[in-house]
Amino acid sequence: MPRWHRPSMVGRARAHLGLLVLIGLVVMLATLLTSAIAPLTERTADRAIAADVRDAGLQGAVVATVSRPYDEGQRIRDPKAVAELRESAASAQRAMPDRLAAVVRPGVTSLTSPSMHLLDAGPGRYLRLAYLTAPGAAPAVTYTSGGPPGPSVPAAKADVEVTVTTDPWPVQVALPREAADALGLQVGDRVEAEDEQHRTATIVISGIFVAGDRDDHVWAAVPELLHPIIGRSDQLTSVSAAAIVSTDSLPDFQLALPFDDLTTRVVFSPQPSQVRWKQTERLMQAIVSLKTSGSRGSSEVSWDSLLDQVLLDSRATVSAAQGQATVLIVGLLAGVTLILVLAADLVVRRRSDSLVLMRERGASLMGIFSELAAESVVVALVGSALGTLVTWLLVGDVGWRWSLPVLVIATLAGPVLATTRAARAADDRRVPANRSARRAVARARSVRRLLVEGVVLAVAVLTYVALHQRGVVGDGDLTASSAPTWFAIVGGLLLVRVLPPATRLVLARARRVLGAVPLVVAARTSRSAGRALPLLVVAVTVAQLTTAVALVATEQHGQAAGALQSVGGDASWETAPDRSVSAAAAKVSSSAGVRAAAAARVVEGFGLASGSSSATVRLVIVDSTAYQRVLAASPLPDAPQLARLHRRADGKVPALLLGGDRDLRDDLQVRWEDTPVPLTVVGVAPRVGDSTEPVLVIDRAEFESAGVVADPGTVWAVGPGAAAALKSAAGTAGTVDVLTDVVDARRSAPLASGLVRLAVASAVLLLMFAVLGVALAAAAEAPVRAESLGRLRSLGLGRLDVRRVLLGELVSPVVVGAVAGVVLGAGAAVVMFGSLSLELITGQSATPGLVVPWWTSLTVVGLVGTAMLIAVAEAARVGRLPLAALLRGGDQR
Amino acid sequence: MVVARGLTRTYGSGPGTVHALQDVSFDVAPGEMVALVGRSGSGKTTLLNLIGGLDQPDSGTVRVDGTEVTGLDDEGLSQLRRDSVSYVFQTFGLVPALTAAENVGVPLRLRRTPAVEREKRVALLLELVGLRDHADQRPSELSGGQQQRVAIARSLAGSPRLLIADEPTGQLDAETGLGVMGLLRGLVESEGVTAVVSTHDPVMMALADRVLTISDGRLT
Ligand SMILES: Nc1ncnc2c1ncn2[C@@H]1O[C@H](COP(=O)(O)OP(=O)(O)O)[C@@H](O)[C@H]1O
Ligand SMILES: [Mg+2]
Repeated sequence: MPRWHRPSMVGRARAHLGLLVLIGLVVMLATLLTSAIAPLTERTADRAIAADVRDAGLQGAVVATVSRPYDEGQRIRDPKAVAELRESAASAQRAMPDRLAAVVRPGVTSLTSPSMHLLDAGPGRYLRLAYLTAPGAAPAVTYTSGGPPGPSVPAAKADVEVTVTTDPWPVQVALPREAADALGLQVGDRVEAEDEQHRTATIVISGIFVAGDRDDHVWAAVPELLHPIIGRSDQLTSVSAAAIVSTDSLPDFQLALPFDDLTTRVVFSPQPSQVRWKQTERLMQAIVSLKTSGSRGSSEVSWDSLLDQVLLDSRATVSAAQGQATVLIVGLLAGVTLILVLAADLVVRRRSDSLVLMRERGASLMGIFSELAAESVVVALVGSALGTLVTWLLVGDVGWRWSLPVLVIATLAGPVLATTRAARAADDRRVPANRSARRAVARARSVRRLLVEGVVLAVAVLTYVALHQRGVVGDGDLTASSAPTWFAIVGGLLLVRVLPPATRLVLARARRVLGAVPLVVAARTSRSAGRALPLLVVAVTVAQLTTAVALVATEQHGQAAGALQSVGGDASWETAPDRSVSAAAAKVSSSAGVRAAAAARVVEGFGLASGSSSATVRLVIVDSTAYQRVLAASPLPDAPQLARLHRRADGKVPALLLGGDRDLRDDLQVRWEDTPVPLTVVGVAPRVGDSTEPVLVIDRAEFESAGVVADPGTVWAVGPGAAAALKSAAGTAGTVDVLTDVVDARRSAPLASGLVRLAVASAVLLLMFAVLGVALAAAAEAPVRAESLGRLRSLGLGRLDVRRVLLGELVSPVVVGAVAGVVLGAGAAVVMFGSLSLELITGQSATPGLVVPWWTSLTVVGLVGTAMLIAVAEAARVGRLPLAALLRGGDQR
Repeated sequence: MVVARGLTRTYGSGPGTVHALQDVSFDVAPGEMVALVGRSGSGKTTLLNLIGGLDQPDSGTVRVDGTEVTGLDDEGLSQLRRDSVSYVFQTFGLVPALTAAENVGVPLRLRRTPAVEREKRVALLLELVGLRDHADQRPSELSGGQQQRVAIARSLAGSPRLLIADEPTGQLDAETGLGVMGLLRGLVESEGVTAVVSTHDPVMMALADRVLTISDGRLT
């Protein structure tokens, strides 16, 4: 261990305290952000997963279906049925792995019948019977008439087994208010119901109730209880509702229906807030193995769930977001690295003389390194500790992963550069005197440089290929995620290569100018053009900043575009198809603040066939004139080809088709409620809705003139009053989507908003680093400039010219670096955004169009302004320096 | 050409005060070459700086070619340097980024001399100092003697009335110094320039028209 000379270490630190504090500050700011990233991304991922699970609703439930032992035709009314049912529920609960049990609510056990056709209540009326039980208190209900279902035997016999001979056996049920209204049933009604095999059951309505808490998860086990499904197909309206069976009427329920009609299920609905990002993989495994366990043996429980798929999709989105975040973080770290190296370089320059002196006094390189390392460790640790502390206070948690590199770079940059400088100082005296030897040294240097550039280029290509092949996934794949940063670095190095010859050209021109200022500026710029670091700092930080801003802008724009595409206007109304919707649309279109409205029948996944091909399309049967106006009034692409839908040719209905193969266009026909309608394709359909499915658009009037009926169920409206008009037209029927709400929802989703925050934070830091880079680069050369300017002043260069020289010298490299940075950042975005899975965050079906906001170029203006300020300040300082002292300073060298 | 009266310059204050120059007066006639001689620290540089307007005296005045240097503002001093007074420094004072020819051309550029005329004069001066073949080399690629010769060429480029040289051979070995001094003497004569040259060197003293000796801030 080399001996440290403490007093000189302290003296050195004190002499450059300002710069050391600055380095500490950079470390602190960088750590502040980087140490917050890990905990914040994890929280964001948790919230995103929770939101996806919540949105999945019942799809996310884990359902156990329990098969009951078949009991041989014995007609016994068994009051212990409830206990048996509970036992099967308990066994399902036991079979569930703890990991899964921790994220779902206790199971809701149900015994349900199929949806049975009510014979006495008119056509198209269906009723499902369900017995529901869950741990804890039963959900509160209030009977508006009648009372809970009772046993179909006298109270005295309710608790004992009774052999039954009557057939059919009645069962008492209670109806939710919604079901009673939809079916038109009243208390005391006795209706016959029939299953698909035309086996009948007798149902007695004991009461009608209103649910106390409609959101109680127990109701979700049988959705049509509180939300009867009302389907209107042309003239016919069908209603599917459900009724509940009580504990008292459960034994009757089992007798009233054929054994095989009853299904016992335990529904475990997920608790979104309990699902953690970190557990998702194991959760998925648990679900998959649970699902296969049922099919494997002769187990009496079989499991079913889409939760694993929901989690899988959610993980894909989270991974994409994390990958994008990693792109931003790597960019930020590149900026931090460069700025720390630049600052260390400045310190080393300022210490150059004392380093040479140390070396001359016999200090070993190891000794120099360790003395300086001791200092930089202190600076880095203090900065990093402060940053971490602030993060911890603000976020409550810190992550090391991204702040460790900052610490390492801050610690090593200074000592490494200083040691290299000291080693060179010793070499310099051994510079070979003869020319050819000097040339050999220069050649060795240029080979070394080529080697470094070659390695950087190779790494950049490698990362680019990785990005192109696998995209960005999660935060573990630094190879792919660093591609945009390497792109910028390669661009920066290229710039450093191109600049010297370019400045030589400028210099040649400046020689021909009359005055001294252009010559001096060009000559000095040309000499410093080969200095890679300052240029790289500005170009790379500005490039990363541009990429970050472009990422956010592209996503925000994509979110708006995707929302517009999926809503179809400023608002849309989706309801059950009905004749009246057309009139409602007409009324909406003439409402105040509505520029256009159109009604359509939209059928997803419609099977389409031509002579030689078939496809699943989105079928849109629309009032085409109105729809054309809607498209014209909205930012959606116009579709003048809609006018062709009125030109009927040889008895076929004209249609527009988007996508699908070519064969689909020959002899196309749709089968609409069993009536075949031949179509002829007259053009390309506009994209309706946000999906990749082919789209087939037909005019409704033309379509109906082929002898079919297609009532509209969708209305799109455009204009500031569209949402209000649609809402008032809709009343309680269907749902109204409002564009601004959809955009807000997409933008405020956890991942989208988290990415925006990260991008903004890193852009702000990068901007600060760029400004700092300009200042540090200026400071590095300031003494040399002052000397040159002193000499020029002794020749009669005036004050104004001094300022001009400084402006030219300081501003021109910043302009070049910053413009190159913007170009490189935008270039990286153009080349690589396609591989970042941005559409997963914008919620579109395709990659969003790239948006690079014009105001990113303001960074150039800002940095140039900084350079100008520095130039003016430096000119004032140089002007104040007494020339005698300046020249004498030179004397004493 | 130079009229100095009662020049006094002190550095610092309190007990550490240095009286670098005390009540110095002298004249230099046009075309005269004066050698300023004195031990190190005697005040030579201080005096030359005051004459050339690089520094201001605490009291006293300097007139160069009828202009009162001590009364000029910044712009006036710049103009003085562009038009009438030039310097040769011990450390040459070349601009490292510029080639030899470019360095020599700077005073001409500052006077906005037309390019053709400028190039002609630069070539002539480089020829005179024997560096025609080194025109495109930068100072770092030249030896000390060559650099000082470039500096001398530069100091004469703008056809100044007064040339001030502060130990022009101080950094050169004896032989090179001798060459530079001969060159300086010859050029001063041929260009008709008034010159004040500080030096330790007896050879320079012999070449001068007159020798001023300074010691402890006073002319003796
Ligand atoms: N900027 C200064 N501050 C303090 N003392 C100075 C300064 N410049 C010169 N001196 C002092 O003034 C005296 C004269 O210096 P100088 O004119 O440089 O002498 P010479 O050129 O003959 O060697 C010396 O004692 C020197 O130490
Ligand atoms: Mg001196």
